[in-house]
Amino acid sequence: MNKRIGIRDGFLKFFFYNFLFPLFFIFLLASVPLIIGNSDGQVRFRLLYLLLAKDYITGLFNGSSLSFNVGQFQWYAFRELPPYFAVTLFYTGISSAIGILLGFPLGLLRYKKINSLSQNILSFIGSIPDFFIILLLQLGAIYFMKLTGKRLAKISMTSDLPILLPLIAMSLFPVLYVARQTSRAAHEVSCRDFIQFARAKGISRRRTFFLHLVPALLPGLSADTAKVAMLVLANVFIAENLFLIQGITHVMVNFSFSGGGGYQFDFVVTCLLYIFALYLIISTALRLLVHGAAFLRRYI
Amino acid sequence: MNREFYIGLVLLFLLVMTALFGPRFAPFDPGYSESVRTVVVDGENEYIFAPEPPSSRHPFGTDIYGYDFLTIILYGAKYTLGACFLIALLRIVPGLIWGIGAGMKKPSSRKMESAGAIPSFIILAFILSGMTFNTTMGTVKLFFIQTALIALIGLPGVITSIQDKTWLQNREPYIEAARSCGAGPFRIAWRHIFPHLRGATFTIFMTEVISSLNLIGQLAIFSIFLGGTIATQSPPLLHSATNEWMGIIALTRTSINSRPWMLFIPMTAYLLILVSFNLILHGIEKHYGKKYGKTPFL
Repeated sequence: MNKRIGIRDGFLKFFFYNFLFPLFFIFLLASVPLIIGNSDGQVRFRLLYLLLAKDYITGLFNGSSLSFNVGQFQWYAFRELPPYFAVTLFYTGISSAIGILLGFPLGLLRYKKINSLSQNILSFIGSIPDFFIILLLQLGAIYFMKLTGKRLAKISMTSDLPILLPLIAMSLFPVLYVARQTSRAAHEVSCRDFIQFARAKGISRRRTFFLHLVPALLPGLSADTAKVAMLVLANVFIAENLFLIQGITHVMVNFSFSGGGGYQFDFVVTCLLYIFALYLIISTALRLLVHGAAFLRRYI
Repeated sequence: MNREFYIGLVLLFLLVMTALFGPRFAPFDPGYSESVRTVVVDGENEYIFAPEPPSSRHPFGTDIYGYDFLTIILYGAKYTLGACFLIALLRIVPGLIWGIGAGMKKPSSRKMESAGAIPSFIILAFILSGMTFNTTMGTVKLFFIQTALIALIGLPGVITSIQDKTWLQNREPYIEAARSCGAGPFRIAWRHIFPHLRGATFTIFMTEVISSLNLIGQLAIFSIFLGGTIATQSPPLLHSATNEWMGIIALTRTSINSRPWMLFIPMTAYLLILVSFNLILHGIEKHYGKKYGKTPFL
């Protein structure tokens, strides 16, 4: 009986923290540009705009919350927005997968060089913000074309998607983050007593590494998947804006204040819900990837 | 300390001097612009339109409105550097007090992880948009409100980091020994844990300086400039009220294809700050890493 209550409580907590709280947060966030304003040299709060959330939920039943004015056009949440969502999913999915699949082995290879010059250079690159890296990549592509006359990569979206530069820019930070976390964790684990014990028993370095050190890192990697998803989502906002990629974050940023009617609360809430869905998909897929790798390891 | 730390410190000192005394040596007034000027070439008048590439009159060139880049860089430095340090300070002081206090007990698991789906700069952009565009508040007042809000959004991360580090120290045998000798939580926190966190505090402070610099840059990409964004309807143009460096990068990025040289000066200035902060951070990490580092067995 107690076990059943425990499971129910656990589920309710999981549901609250993973769905209800983020939903509340999205409604609050979308109404903030209307709530906070300024006039006569003071910050003004118009709390009545908090009630817009109620209107949005009511509008879901008659469909009014799911149609928006974008320029001269009427858009619907489930007709026009999914292609933009798919574009963002494409970039975030690939770059987060690269982040894990490249970052983890890179971190393992470099854990003994944690205080080396090359590690410091990698840390420095990791501290350069995404927008700066994107501008550097774009400048590099422009000057390459000016010098050689050849187009290395597309620097913004025209009729088709730019692939190379956005994927480099968006994968760089997840790769460096996962590599850094893995290196630090591997260095820490390699100092622990059970590793010393394994070595003292005569187990070879290679065997200790693969059978004791690597499995000890997988729970940490699994916990880091949420952070990787957050990093990639932060990058995609900047990348879509600077490469002019027609993704869901780009349309949200560019059309939230258009349509002749000022700020479009319904449109912003719907876009934020799409972004939240993206986060859930990416973090779940990455977690499955890590768990899958941990499961397969048993058969190696 | 080590060489990296001192090089970073010297570089930072030069940047701080530029921020403090630079405007005195600026060649033009920050409000002065030359959208078009004439020069005499072979006895004939020639028109030069903004943006001008670097020349003897404008060593760093001008922007698309004719404002001298050197002047706006010198005037904007104090806002860029000031904001970074102020934000980091506003995070580290309460973060340290709160983090050590909370770390005396076992930290609870992170439950609201999903809220991180929306990046912090987007949350800030939503909060700041209403007060930043064509603000009726003074530039300085808005600057302090913006820095306080940027500091606030990063505060939970600092608290969590210090809390975790405090909890790790709290489990060490020497703390248990102090407790057995009758030391209270305040004495343990002040006399035993705080001195051990000194290295971590410097590291977190510098990390927060860098992260706030990056956050200000990300906000600038969405036209949220420190001190205010001046937006005109016809023609639809944006200006930074303070000329802070990230705002200049964001405003000149539209010229990346036609006049890429315009980005060099603000981007180099930004890179100099980043390099100096990183050198100091690595210097501190190296120093404390050598002092407290463990030996790997593999």
